Amino acid sequence: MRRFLILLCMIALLGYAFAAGANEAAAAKTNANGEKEITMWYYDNKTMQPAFSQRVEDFNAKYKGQYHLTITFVPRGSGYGYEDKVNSAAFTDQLPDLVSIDGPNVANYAANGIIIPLDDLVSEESKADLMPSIVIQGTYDNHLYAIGYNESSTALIYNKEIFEKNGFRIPKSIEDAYTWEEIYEMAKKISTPECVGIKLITNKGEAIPYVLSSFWDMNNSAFTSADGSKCDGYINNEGGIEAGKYLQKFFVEGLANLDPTPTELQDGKSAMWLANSGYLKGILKSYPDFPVAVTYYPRTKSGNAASPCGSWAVGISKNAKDLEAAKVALEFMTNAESTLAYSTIGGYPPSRKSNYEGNEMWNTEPFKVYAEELFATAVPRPRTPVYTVLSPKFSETLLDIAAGADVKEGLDALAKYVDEEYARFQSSLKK
Amino acid sequence: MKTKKTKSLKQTEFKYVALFTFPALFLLSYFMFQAMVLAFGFSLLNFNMLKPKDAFFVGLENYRRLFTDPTFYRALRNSIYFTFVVIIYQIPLAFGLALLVRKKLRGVGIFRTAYFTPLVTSITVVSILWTFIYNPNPTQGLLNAMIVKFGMKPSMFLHDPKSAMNAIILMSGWHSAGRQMMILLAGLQAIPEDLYEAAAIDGANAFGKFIHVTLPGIKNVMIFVVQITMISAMKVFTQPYVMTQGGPKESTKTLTYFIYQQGFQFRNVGYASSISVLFFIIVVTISLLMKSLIKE
Repeated sequence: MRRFLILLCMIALLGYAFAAGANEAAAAKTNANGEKEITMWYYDNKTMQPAFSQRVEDFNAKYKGQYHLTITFVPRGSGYGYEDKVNSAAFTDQLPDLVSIDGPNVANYAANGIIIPLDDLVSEESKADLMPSIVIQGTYDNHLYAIGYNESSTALIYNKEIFEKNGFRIPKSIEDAYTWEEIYEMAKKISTPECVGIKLITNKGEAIPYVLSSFWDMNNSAFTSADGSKCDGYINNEGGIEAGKYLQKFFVEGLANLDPTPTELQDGKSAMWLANSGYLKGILKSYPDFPVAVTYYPRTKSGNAASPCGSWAVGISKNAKDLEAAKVALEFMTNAESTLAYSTIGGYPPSRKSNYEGNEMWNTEPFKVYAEELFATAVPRPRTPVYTVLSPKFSETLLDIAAGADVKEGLDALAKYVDEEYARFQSSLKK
Repeated sequence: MKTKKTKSLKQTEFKYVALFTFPALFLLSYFMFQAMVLAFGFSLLNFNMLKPKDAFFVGLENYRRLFTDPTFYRALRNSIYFTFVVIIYQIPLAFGLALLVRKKLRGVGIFRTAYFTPLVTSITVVSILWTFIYNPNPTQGLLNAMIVKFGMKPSMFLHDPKSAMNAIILMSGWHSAGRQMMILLAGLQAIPEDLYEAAAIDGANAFGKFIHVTLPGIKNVMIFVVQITMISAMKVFTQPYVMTQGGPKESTKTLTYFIYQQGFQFRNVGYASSISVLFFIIVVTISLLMKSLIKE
């Protein structure tokens, strides 16, 4: 009996050891054709997927016999599903060779060693062709860590018929953009329960800080200090509280919905929408008869302007099995041909300067508005290692503000929380 | 007196018991007990999920932080409130439905199916649908459209800290009552008909039969249903995650949502583990209390 029980215990221990050993990262794989396997993750952006799938096919055709690239589109939902998967994979050392990252998260992943510096892996010629905002977004601690697939910008999409019916002026240039007060008055004039003035919430995840942070940037405020180390005194300064109160007005007065549907503008249930060019492309494609037009992101009364920018980028993960293979794949998936494809198919501004030359899409209406903003008023989201805390907490705070909570209290609590997280993050680095 | 033969038979029996339960025990120990031990271990560390190799020992610092964190107390209160209200609302609802569908009427199967169907639908999909139903705009939200038709003011539902959790509870009860209904229905069908006949002979009316036959007969099944509902309710996550993201003003942030937010979103594995350990102690304590109350 005792021998039997000992035997069972030994089998159990062997089982544990086997299961634990199975968690170790696999060595670099070579497939049946002798090609080195390279893995890549991107989030499930339905608009961009065709472009990525095509480029992966093109890569595999070009490097047949040498490399084989596989891309996985990971669900993100309206929250942070993709980031959850990346976090879990980082924890278990099972990241793909190339990992896509939302722009403002680059600093966080770089600070935690999830992605490796690319300074020696990307040519000077390639770096010189990147948009300055893309270089800023992808740089942390003076090292380049990620290259943007595309840029982005947000502008005011509106229902032309409603605007014409109400005799609203149409801005002629970026300097002539609507002011905060004009947007409010327009929304108030046209808003009914059946069709609210404006859609401000695209989703309850990253879209909230992405779309709305520019109200802080243009109003003598910011989400954090320039080095990303301090939030108190920035997001909750006078300008920040003013921005929060301004946005709150739309919700408490019924001029914007707290739970807008994904197609609220297209269904005629709102007259304006602060949205990026990808959404505009979607409307033009799926609702060709909808009277859509676009104009610039609003500016302050004194003329200060800022607009959102930054988008998904790609880096080489710490778990990349073959650095040379990963470098080749990275270079291909972010070269000028690739970035042009993402831009044309996805409807996002290109991340390379050369892509704008002779590019009819980005030099003519309506997409020209986004390109103009990118060159003139774009302000990137803060590059801070605690952005992954700042973003969801800001979304939480903004939704509370939209439901009527005290703006100063909410922003003060948010700033305090983020600063405490930063201090905790710093203390974890010292050890 | 134990003979050699009896002893040998018992040993053989034990071997078979051990062999048959070994796979289940192995899986349970690997995925559950190991996880529990690791959670306790991680709770004593400053542990960034993205840098597991740099974790370092901080003793009871995470617990000290937890007991001074107002969000923890809010999440605990929300979880207990959800559990308590779900038990007193969902179980009587399920019992009432079970009593109704117990009757041997033509077409009763349609009603059983109708009451059970919400459970078959993914809770994520149901949560998204109910977000639209609860839309505060009366031209978009089904419930507010009906409320306004009766001349009342529309409700903020998920956007008011006073009503958000109750809105989630109402939806959760609608979704899950079918499960309890089926279990209670099985319990009701197991009560022998003879007892009802005997009660009828003794002059009991419908109410009397319910009090003196049905309730005692269903008691053990009811205890089981209350226990599984309690454990399930304490773990609620999907509804606040999808519908309210824990807001407004953390009024729907439950303990499991808090654990997820700290562990996955903010990558504080050590802190999230300390919440998990405390959560485990709370659930076990409540379960043991319920068990002792029932015994009495």
